[in-house]
Formats: sequence, structure tokens, C-alpha cells
Amino acid sequence: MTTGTTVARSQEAQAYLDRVGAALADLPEEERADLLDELGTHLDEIAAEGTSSLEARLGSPEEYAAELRASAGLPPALSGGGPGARLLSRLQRVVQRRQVVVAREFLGALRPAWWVARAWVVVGLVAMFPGQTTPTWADAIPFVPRVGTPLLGLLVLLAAVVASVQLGRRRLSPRAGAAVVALNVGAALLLLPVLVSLGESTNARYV
Amino acid sequence: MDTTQLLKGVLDVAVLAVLDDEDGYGYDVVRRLRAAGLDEVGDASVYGTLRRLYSAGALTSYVVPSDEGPHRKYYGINKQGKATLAESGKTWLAFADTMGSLLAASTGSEGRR
Repeated sequence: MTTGTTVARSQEAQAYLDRVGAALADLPEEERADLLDELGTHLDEIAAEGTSSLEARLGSPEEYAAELRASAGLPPALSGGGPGARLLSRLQRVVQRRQVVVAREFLGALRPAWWVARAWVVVGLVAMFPGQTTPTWADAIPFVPRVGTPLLGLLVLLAAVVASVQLGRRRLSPRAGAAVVALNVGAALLLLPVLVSLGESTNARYV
Repeated sequence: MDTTQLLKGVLDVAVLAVLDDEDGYGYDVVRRLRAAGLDEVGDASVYGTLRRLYSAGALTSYVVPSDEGPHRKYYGINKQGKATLAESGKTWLAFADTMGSLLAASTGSEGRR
């Protein structure tokens, strides 16, 4: 008599299913629908047995979702469910895309050049400071900031490059790593002003 | 030692072994594992394992309409699954054998004391 009819899902089963669904909100829609479809059937069956509540039998919906992820080899939830988690996982997938990976590898290969550049920016900043006699860039050696004397500037620059490269090669603790990121951002922001200053002082030489 | 920790490592083999016997849907596999003595196996772990094995190409799946309820998704083992089962099964048996003799030796020496 029940042929072709869908068994009405119990309220308890539907509520459980909804909460598991929320905990899987960051998964791709197709995968999520697939998992929930199978779970729905499963819950109906357990509910029909009616021996105990679903939570007593299966644990909380959130625990169920975590166990399902772990055993299915899916990534663990980033921060609960919801649209935020969905956005984050979408971002994560973009970052893992092939072109992005290639671009990241390319930029990774340029890291040593950046280590030299940031050392140069830091020393260049010193050369830009007031109190320095103008022009602040050493005329004798192009691209070398003057720190006191041109020769001293060259020595300071070499030391800074060595220090910067050593810093770049080292494996850092998370805290030190964050400090280096801040240093990098600062150096990147100041790269342009230092270059402009170099241009100005170079022009000044020819005026 | 907690059996659930041990289960994690062997659930793949256990699920493959059950399906090698006969095709089954998720809850059916859960029941058969429990009937075989793995009563601590979690429902979610079995469903997740089925899904992972299916994605890895070790299982086939098909939907069977049912008279008294919803459609059920059945899983069956395929050639690749059988190969995995044979290989993992061998590894597991060798490991169990090693552990068995190790434990037998340790309880034996305790007995002599």
C-alpha cells in the first residue's frame, strides 16, 4: 500500500538532519546533498526502530558531522557552519587551483630577490632620514644609500643583505613569522618612496 | 586500550570484507560489522568510509527502490576493491600475527616469574 509514497520523516529526524546539514555547510553543494540524502534514509530507519532518541544513538549532529568528515577524508570544518565557512572554503579552493599554485610557485622562486630588495629598502630608509646631508644617495656608487659615507653605506647594505637572506632562509616560530610578515609589508609599502627618493637625488646630480 | 582507536586503522579493510561477502547499503554494513563483533563502530564512520572508498574507486554503487520505505543506496566491491582488500588483509593478518606472538611472549615471561 505504501508503494510510491515517501514515508513522512519524523520531526526529530528532520531536526537532526538539518543540524548535520548546517555543520557541513562549507562542502560543495553536490557532495553535501549526496551525504544528506543518504543520512536521511539512515535516520528514518533508525527512527522507525524507535528504541532510543537519535542523539542517544548517534551522538550530537555536530559530532556526527565531524566523524563523517574525518572518515570520508573531507576537510574538517573551518569555523562551524554558515555562510562564513562556505566563503572560506571557497577561498581555499581558489588558492588550491592549478594556475594559482603555479603563480605561487613562481613568486616563491623570486623570494631571494625580494630578500635583497627589502634589505635595500631598509638601508635606503636610513639614507632618507633627515640629518643626512643631501643628496642622501651616494654619488660615487649608484644605488647605494649613503650612510655617513658612501663606503660605509655600501658596507651597511652588504650586511643588511646578508642578514635579510639569512632571515629568509630560516624556519621561524609563528610569532617571529608574524613579525617578519609585518616587516615585509612595511618594506613593500616603502619600496616606492625609496625609489622616488633615489630618482630625485639622481636627478639632482645632473641639474 | 580504546577499541575505537584501533578501529580507525582497520575500518577500510573491515568494510571491504563485509561487502566482499555481499553488497549492502550503509546501515546494513553497520549492522553486519556490529554482528561480526565490532560493536563500537560508529554509524558516521561507516558512512564516511563507504563514501571515501567509493570516491577512491574501490566500490560501485546503485540505488534500489524499496517497497516499504525510501530508496536505498547499495554499495558493492569491484576489482580494485578486491585487490585492496587482498593487500590490506595480508598486511593486517601479518600485523595481528606479530602482535599475537609479542603478547604471548610477554604474558609467558610474566607467568614464569
